[in-house]
Amino acid sequence: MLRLKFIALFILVIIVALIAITVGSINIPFFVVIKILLANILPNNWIETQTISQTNQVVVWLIRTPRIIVAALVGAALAMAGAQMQGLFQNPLASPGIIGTSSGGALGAVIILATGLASHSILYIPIFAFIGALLSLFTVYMLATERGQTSIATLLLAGIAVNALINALTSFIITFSWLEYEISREMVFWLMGGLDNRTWSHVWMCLPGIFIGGFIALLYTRELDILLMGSETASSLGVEVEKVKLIILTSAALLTGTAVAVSGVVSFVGLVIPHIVRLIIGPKHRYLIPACALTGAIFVILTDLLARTLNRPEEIRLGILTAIFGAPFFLYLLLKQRRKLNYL
Amino acid sequence: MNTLVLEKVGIQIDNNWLIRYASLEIQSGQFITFLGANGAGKTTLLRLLAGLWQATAGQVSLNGKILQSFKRRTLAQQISFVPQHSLINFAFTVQEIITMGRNPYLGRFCSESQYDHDCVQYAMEKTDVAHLAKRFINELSGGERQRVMIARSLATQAPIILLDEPTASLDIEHTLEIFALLKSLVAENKTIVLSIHDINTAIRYADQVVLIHQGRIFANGSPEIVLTKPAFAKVFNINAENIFNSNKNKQFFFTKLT
Repeated sequence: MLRLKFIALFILVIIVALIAITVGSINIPFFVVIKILLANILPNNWIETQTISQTNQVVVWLIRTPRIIVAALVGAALAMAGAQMQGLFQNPLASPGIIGTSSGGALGAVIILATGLASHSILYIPIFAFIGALLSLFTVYMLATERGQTSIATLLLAGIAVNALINALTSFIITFSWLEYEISREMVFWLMGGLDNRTWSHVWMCLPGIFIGGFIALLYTRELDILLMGSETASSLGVEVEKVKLIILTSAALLTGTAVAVSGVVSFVGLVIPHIVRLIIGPKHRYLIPACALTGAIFVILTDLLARTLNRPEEIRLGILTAIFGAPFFLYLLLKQRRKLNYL
Repeated sequence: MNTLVLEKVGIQIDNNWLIRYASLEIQSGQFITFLGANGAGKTTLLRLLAGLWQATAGQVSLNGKILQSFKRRTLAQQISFVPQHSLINFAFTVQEIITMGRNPYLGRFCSESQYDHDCVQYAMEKTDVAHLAKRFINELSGGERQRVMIARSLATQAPIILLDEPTASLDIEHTLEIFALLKSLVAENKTIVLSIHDINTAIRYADQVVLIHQGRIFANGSPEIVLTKPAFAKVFNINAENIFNSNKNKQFFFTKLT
């Protein structure tokens, strides 16, 4: 049963990705898309591409395909990070966007861009975004945790404060470092997220971080299950709680930071996806985390498809759409928790 | 043969000594209860014995080796701790929860072997929760849930099990059920140490009572010796009358000290 669900999810990712590559401002028939993709994936000269126009080849392989791959990677990374955070804080409201981890990543990226260091290596942006995400996540964690217990109210409040401060810093740096006509564009990108003009270099930029972060996340799934039982129980079941928490936080920051480095702040993905997946797969992280990766990928590919087709030829910011879907969901969760929150 | 020893142990948190000069020796196959007023330090003492908190003074050792020098996994194979609050909001099945008890034996890349599954099965049968295996933990009653927690402890195969008020939220029937279960574990040479408020239940099942008063071990020994009128007056600020049940077992009737 579980295996079937995974196979179904995997097939769905492929189908959604192919649809997203096919649909756009320029109409390209589906079979032409497939042909171009195969021609680029398979060894040279296996597929005849002479009959396909140069424009179509560029649109499919150099514009749409990398964008959809980045969308899938960002969605997978944010959803996995969200699942990790909710497990670690034993708290269904924790997620990278809400407690300021994403904005920390954006600040790191903006700093490295403003100093000009980013031109030396494409890996500088994700590395600094990771450091920003990590610092912000640790700050909120330290503020909200006392003797291994994290209170929901303190976590959310600390998240709001850290979020506000970081966004102010990000806007401040952008205001001083970019030319006037670029400022609003940069600000909108980093604060509201988006996948416009993503190229293959962006794929390579985020792939290593997301791969490593996801790998660590998968290694520590049993510990995450046990941490849900509370720190004392976890400790008495042989988990080195402090060390494991550190590793899981770092991996969540790595996933969030690298995703933010290529997409800006796309909020609510890390909140919504783990909840939905938990209903289908159950709470065991060994299955939850990979299922979140697949579902997160589907969600962001689809949302990005809406973002670029709803209001053609203009694009709606991806972060705006995910917020429109995600914020009501967050409120719903908050209402469900209201009775508990009253006591805090 | 396992010996868990507290040696002049003290623990200080925020300039406050929660436990002072506590010395105690616990042998295999003993059934020990900690009695004391609220805030006396019962839970703290259990946490020290479980190696969850580190003593500020003195030391806690298992078979002559200080607890802090054990690897967390190795210690988990020897000592199991069941905390009082086990609120679980996530829909794990009973079997999944109990399987977590095998964590101290599992390597990072391993999944559970047949032997691990056998251990889980044995623990479920012993605690009579096998029929609940596929049920969700957050749907169970208090008594069932407590049995699941004990089953998870059994799955760790630790010879020493520490429980913090395991019957705090249970009615009398379920309380007696849990104690009968724990007693049967003692018969299999497990060591059981628990804290409890119900003095009469403690007397009926425990072979040793540790009275804790304001962070110190006030008295320690068999119930007949430790539980005296002056001790009740001092530790609990209550007056105790002896009564005997039909089996001629000593029980107490308590009134407020005036």
